[in-house]
Amino acid sequence: MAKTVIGVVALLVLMIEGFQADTGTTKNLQEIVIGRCYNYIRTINPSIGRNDCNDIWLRFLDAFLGKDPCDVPVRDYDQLFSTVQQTIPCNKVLLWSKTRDIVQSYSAVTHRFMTLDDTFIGYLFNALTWCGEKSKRELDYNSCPDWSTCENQPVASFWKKASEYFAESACGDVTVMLNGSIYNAFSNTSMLRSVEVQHLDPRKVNQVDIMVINSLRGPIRESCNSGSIVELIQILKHQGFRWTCTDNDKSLIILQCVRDPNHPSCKICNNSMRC
Amino acid sequence: MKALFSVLLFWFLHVFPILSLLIPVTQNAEAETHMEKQWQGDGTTLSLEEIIIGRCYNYIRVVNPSVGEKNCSQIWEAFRDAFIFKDPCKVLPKDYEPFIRLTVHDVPLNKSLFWENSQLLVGRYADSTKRMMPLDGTLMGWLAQGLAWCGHPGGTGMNYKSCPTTDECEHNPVESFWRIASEAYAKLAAGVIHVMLNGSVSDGAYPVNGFFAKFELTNLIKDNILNIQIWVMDEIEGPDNESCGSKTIKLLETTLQEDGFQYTCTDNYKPVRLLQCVDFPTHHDCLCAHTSTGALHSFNLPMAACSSESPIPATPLLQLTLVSSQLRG
Repeated sequence: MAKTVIGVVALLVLMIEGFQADTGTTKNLQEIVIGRCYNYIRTINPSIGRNDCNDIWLRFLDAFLGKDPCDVPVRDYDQLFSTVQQTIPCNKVLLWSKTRDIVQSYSAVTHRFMTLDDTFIGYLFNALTWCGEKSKRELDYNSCPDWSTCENQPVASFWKKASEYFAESACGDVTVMLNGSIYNAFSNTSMLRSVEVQHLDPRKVNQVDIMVINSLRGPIRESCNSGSIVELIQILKHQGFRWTCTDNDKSLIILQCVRDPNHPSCKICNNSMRC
Repeated sequence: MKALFSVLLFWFLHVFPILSLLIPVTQNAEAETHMEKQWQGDGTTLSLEEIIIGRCYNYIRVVNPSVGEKNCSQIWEAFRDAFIFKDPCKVLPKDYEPFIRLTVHDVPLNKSLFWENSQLLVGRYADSTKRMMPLDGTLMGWLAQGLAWCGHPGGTGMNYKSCPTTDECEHNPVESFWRIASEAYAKLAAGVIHVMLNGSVSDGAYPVNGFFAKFELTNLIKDNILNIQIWVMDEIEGPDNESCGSKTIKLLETTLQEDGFQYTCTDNYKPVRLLQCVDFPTHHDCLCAHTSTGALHSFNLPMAACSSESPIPATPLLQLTLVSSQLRG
């Protein structure tokens, strides 16, 4: 009998530990965010203009500290976003959906584009997790609710706000990268469709250039004239934007070749060869 | 009465402003703007402590959690104590030994990447430690890369105005740091190691007085090294000044041979070449084939028009590859 009780208790303890193993607030969040802030304004982009790192940290905390972590609506981050000062250059904004790997590689390699993660605010909070607890002035390091479990989750709301801010700031030519190797490349549930495209400002944006990328080894599921990408074009037309659409930009093929150099699409010319 | 008033007015309008200019302006401890600019190099980066502690936690929590738990405040103090309040021409590599001990961690097998004259390309190819781990991808390199620092005996102990270059004095804090870090990094190298050199420079793709030659090559632990891969990368629009088997590259190959290392040498190693090509997609040194571009074209897999190449890492057409005499069976 005693053994059974011990066994059940042990099992319960393990189960509780398991629940707590859900990702909680990133440890040392404050040092990381403040450090990234100074790193950005002193070394990465010193021309960014006045920003007070401690102030930014405090406004960030105000958005969600002491609140139920399922009750942090998007607008609670408004103060934070009005504190952060950065002018987004025209013609560089890159929006994307379901192309994370290639987009991250691309913007790391060439400075032709700027993704949300390359902005000051995106840089500060990329790859971090945070949440608080109702009525407690502390960060919850044990566990934070998953994005899918509640709509007004602190991290989810932050990225929605950031996506709105980023799209609203875009001017000149805007580029959109979509994955032509999946169905539903321009999906209803994506941040791109539900937030970003809605917040592009026709007074500021000249033209939207859609780039459809296929994985080197395929398959080809959607393209500029098939599938959900056609819906994106319709939306852009309806909102009065000029647009272009390209399948398989050469730079992006080359970028994929770095990981797959023996693929037949990846032959390099040698100086003495005519191609 | 009127006279007194005029005198007071005179003082208020003219003398006080002049007096206030004589008071040294130190808005915060960091500014120290009253200091003379003594040296030719950049002064200490502002907010150095917050940057280093932040980078440290960012590295262990996000970039490379496999290094385990580290005490980042302690690491900052060890770094700072190597140079703070000291004459900036009297800082030796061994002054950083406590820092190195606290930050050292394994470099994964086959991921060491040494280089000369290729900083940007190395950074891109390494891809934040996902593909390779050059010195800047280790914790010790990550903390210090792109920063400047030096001390001086008075004030806050840090000189934010200027720091000595190596031409001005050899034992300066930054030079000494990178010397010991390079040495420590070389000792960690294991498996297949890689060396990226720039074939377009005119003053030696393999500089015999560079960091690689002086502090890294000499500190490799031979028993841990399987093979050394040399990549000689020309810049896309740049000249082909050096290649495998000639000039300074030949000197490197000879040195490796004499030291008993197995090595290979490749001109324009393809995966790295492809990375260079991302910025020059239509250049004749890049992809053979032409893709359709422009609005609303249906997808066309590029048709390869060049003759076939053999797959990597075998000998590609018209590229020189040297293999050392001790082939593994």
